[in-house]
Amino acid sequence: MRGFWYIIESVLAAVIVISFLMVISAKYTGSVQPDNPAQNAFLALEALDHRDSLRNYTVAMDYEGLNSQVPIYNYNHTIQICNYGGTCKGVRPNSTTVWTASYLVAGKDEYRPYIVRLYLSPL
Amino acid sequence: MNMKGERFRMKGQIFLIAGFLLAVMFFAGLPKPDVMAQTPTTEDLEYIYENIEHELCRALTLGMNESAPVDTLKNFTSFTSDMLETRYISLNALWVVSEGNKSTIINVSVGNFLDSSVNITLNLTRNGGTQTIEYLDVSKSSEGSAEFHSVTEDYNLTIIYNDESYIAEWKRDKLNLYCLLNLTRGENIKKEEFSY
Repeated sequence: MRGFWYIIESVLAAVIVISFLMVISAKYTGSVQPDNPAQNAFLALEALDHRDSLRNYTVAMDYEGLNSQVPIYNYNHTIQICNYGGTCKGVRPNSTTVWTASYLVAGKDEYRPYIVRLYLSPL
Repeated sequence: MNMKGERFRMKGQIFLIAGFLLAVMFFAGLPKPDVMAQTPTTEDLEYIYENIEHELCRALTLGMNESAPVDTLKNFTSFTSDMLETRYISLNALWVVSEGNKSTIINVSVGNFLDSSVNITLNLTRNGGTQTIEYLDVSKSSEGSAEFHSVTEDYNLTIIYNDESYIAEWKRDKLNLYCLLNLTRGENIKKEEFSY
C-alpha cells in the first residue's frame, strides 16, 4: 500500500513540475505577433476598389479574375461574390484556419448590391 | 551494503519510473485543443464603417439615377444590416435625405433603422433667417417625410432626435444625406455620423 502512495506522490510531483515548466516556457517563448490578416484582406479589397477594378469584376461575378488581382502573396486567397438574391459564386478555402474580409458594393452603373468576401488561409 | 552490512535493495526507482510514465501518459492523453473560430477584434469595425459610409452614399447616388434614391437607400440599409448580422455585428442607423425638384420646394425623408421608433424634429433655417419646423414620428424600420416650401438656395437643417442634434449646411438643388451609423459587436461600438 505504501508503494501505491509513493506512485501517487511522484505523479503529482511530476505533474506540478511539468505544468510549471510549460507555463514558464509559454510565457518566455514570446510568440511573434502576426500581422492582422483580416485587416490586410480588407485593405486589399479597398485598394482594388480605389483602382476601379473591384466593381467591374464584382458586377460580372468574375471571382477568378478578381482573385487574380488580389495583391497578397504570403497567404493563399480565394474570392466569393454574393449578389442580392443570395447567389454566391466563388471558392471557400478548405483549411482549418481562415481569415475573412467582407466588402459591400452597392453597384457600378446601376444599383445592384453585392458582398465580396476575400478568404485568406496559411500557405 | 548499508551501514549495518545488509544488502542495499533499491526499491524507490520503480516508483519514480512508474510515476514518470503515468505523468507522460497523462499529458499525452490531453486532448489537442480544436481550432476555434475567433471573432475579430474591434479594429475591423473601423474599416467596416468606412465601407458602409462610402457605399451608402454610392447607393443614394445610384438610386437617384433611377429616380428612387430613398427606396434604394432603404433597400441597401436592410441589405447591409443582414450582411452584418452574419458577422455578429448589429447595425443601427438613422438617415435624413433632402431632395430638391428644381423649385423652391424640398422633400426631406427620414429612414429609421434604430432599435425603436423615433421622434425627430427638422428645423429648416433659410438664408434670411426664417425657420420652418416639422415634427415626425418614424416607426422602427420605416421612413417618414416632410416638405418644406420657399427654401433658399443655401439653408441649414437642424436634425434633433434622441438627445442627438446635428446642423447640416445644405444646398437646395442637390441631393443631401445625413446619416448616423452605430455598429455594435458585444461591447465594441463604433458610432459616428456623417453628412454628404
